[in-house]
Amino acid sequence: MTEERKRSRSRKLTNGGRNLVLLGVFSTIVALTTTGISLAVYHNSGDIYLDRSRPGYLPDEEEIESEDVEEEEYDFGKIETLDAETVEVYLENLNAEARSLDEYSDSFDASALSDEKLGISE
Amino acid sequence: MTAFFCQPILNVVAISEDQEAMIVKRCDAIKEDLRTVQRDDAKSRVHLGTYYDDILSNYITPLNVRLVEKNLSNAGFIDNQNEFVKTKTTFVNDFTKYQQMLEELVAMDCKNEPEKFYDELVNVRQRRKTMEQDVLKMRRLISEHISLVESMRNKL
Repeated sequence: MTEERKRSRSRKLTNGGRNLVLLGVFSTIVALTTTGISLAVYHNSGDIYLDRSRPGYLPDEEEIESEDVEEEEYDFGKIETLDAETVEVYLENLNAEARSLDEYSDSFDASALSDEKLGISE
Repeated sequence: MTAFFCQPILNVVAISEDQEAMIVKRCDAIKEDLRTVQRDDAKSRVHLGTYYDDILSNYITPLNVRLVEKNLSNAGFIDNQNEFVKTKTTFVNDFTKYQQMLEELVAMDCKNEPEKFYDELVNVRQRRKTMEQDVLKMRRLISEHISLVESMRNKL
């Protein structure tokens, strides 16, 4: 009887150990699958190309400094009235935004990938 | 019929032997240059996207809502906003495609397949051209919106 109980207990322990290993394997498979899916979504959605926390893509010092200077953002939605004066302020702010935008107007110009730039011109 | 035969054939670019040799020789340097372009483009994309979002949510949309409330809106404002939203989405999608192509180009074996590499480079250039056009179109739409507001101001 005692012998039988010992064997039963030993079997339970063996099953417990096997179950623990199975749980570990299952958890690893689930973790790898979900990580793989997340990385695929991250890549295919294009978010990877906007992620500037990647090595080599970190913001320059100048950018960090300019981000530190907090300026109150203009938002027409917060303005209650619509008259000549508010429209004038609106245009003033929008033109300033447009001027800032113009600094990036040649962002995708052809020269960056030209034969000359890449050193493969004849 | 003539127009059909005059269509440019994509991907077939004559590459000279000298160029082929230069690609093989400068393969690593070219890839480094391409990575730099990738990084600079990512920076530009983030800045441009931020400006576009800001202009749409802080200027164009709230103004149009106010104009509708005051019965001052017209088709020009609505069309401009719709076109702005559409082009912004195109800009975002084009950038993803462009970066994917650039990434594939960087991963190519330019030492052993210089011709194939050059063909792909030509395709990436075309995609980059599309990006340039998107940026110009967005700027044109902002200018159009400014003109519409200036005309409306004179009526207030």
